[in-house]
Amino acid sequence: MAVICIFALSGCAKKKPSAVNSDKIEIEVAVFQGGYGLDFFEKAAREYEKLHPNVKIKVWGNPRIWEQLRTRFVAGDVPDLCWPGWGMDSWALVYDGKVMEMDKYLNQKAYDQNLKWKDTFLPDLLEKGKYRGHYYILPFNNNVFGWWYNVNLFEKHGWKPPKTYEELLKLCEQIKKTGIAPITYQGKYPAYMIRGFLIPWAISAGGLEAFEAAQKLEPGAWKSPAFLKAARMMAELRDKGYFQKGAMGMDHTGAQMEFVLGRAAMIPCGTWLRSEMQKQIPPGFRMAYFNPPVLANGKGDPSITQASAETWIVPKEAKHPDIGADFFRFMTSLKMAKRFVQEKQTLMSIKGSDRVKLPPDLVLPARYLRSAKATWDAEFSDWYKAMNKEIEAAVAALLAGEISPEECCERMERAAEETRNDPSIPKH
Amino acid sequence: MTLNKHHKLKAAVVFLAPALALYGMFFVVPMLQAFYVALFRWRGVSIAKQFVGIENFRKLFTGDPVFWQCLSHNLMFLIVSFLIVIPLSLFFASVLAGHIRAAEVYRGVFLFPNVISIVAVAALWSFVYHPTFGILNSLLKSIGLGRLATGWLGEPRYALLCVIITSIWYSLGFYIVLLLAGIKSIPTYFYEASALDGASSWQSFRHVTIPLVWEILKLAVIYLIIHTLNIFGLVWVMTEGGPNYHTETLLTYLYRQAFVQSNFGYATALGVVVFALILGVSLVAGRLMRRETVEL
Repeated sequence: MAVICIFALSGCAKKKPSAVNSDKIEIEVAVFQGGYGLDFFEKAAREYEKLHPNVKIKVWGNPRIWEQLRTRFVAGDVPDLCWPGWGMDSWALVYDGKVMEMDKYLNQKAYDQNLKWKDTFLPDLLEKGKYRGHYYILPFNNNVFGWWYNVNLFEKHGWKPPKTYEELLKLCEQIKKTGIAPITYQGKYPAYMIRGFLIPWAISAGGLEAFEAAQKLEPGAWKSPAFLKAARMMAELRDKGYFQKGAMGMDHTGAQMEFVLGRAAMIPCGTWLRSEMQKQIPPGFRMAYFNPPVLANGKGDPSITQASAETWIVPKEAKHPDIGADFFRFMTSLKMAKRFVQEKQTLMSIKGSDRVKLPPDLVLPARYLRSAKATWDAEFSDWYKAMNKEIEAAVAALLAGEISPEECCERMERAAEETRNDPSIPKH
Repeated sequence: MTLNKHHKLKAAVVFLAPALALYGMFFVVPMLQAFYVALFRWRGVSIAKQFVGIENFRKLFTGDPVFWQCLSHNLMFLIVSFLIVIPLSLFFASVLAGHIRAAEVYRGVFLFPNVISIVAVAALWSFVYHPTFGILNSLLKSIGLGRLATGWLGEPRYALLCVIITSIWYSLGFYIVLLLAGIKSIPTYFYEASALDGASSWQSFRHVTIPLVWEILKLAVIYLIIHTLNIFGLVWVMTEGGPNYHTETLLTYLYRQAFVQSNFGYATALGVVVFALILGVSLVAGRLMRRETVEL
């Protein structure tokens, strides 16, 4: 009797989902269930199964998926492909050898184009996922980050979105006179102010190389004249009262609410702005994207645009990493990418995927992205989390009027120095 | 007789074992494990750990100004809460214990914040402090103090105080009910006797109520210590420790270190320090409040 029990138990323990139908391989795809839902990925899975009858794909997800994934990564029981979401420290996974190196897959042919798979991506976005010469983290949909203005308000007053900082100052003075706040920002999350003010202006003042040097932790880079200029520009807007009063005390949706309700004329944000505010946007509200105004005599090319990507990984300990990677290759085919753009109203990191009828809010970001001489992303915020937190605190202190631009830069530089001197932090 | 005793012991062991096993497995072992993990550098995404000895503690105490900032914020929380909550709850409890009309209703009203989820409380008060449509700013404007209106939670000078006030609003009811139960259990003849001796209501409060609820008061203080040194949810939802660390507390910092910055070893070391701190402060408070218990 006991023997039978043991036999039965061991039978249970060995039973894997794929054993249900022995000739089918089941793979697991874990997806961050944010604004885009799961339906696109489920439909893609069904299509992939039709093309590969021996594969069964289980797609699941939730809005805080990283919490489940973290423990599963520790345990070594991982999905075959995942979008771990913004709460996951994907680089920590890479450092600990938990992410599959993707080079061999990227050298395969693309699904529906006569190109290598890796040549179908927007190169800047693909390169972000590289570490020590190998690809690990792959981009999927992408976000363009810049400024938005209230079109109705601008048309009513005959204002034009400012191209230069000098124009911005003049415009802010006019807007302020009407009693509307010229600019608001998501004060609780200084990442918006770093991506929307500090870095674009440092790039404008010192060229892209000034920012690259800062990301590479070169000594003095965070307090270089370029960053000091950017910090001074922020302080100038602060002192002239062009930022909405109290913005420091608002979270992202709070500040964006001020913008869509017309109490502030401009706001820095990514291309997800409309989908995030869908429920609060009043009927008839129109907004449009523009790149942050640059210095008229700035060193940086005015076309430089900020683009980041939502990223996916194939876990190294996946049971079927080849199929996981292949399914991702399928989802990033031009056909699927175009479909994602249309269905989910976001841009994709696949070249040519924007050649569809874009939703109105994406037309301009796509145009800026296409004509950009270069793109950048605040990658340091993913690489060096402790330094990033310090820089956020410094920028918050600057905008709250606690410290001067010089002190802000000193503080950022100290944070960079600490990271530079800490051998336990892997460097990029 | 001895056999009987032996039997009793056996029975006790048998009945206690499951509870002890569960307690041990889910409380004692993880806690001991925390002491162990605190000696490692660990990202918390794999089993790869690097032994660093007391390095995490060394860095915490000598190389991390944010830790001291957090500590000072928690102590601020503790001191302000202590100065306001204990006298206020004692006052309300003794008033409610008396024969006032609708005492039951007031008791419910005071306890009400306690039954709302902490996240809802935080969201509610974030709206109170909201820069453009917050009640606080509207109130200031309506009494002609509009120039004081600001974005409270983003204002370095006020952010911490704003969160502390919310915490007090939230927890006051609990302490009132706690002390009320204590006061209610004091037999009325003590008061009758003191009244006969001509004691004023302040005197009977001072010499009858206080000594007789002293043990409960001690309990309340220890609760307050644990609550304020462990504060997390309220701060995280309202400010996430910002702006510029002005509301960062030990536990929000711990959470950030572990789950945002992937420093699980460091965060665990911080957890161990918080544990020791709460234990230490509670013991000191217990010692300071020691006085002869008045037997009823």
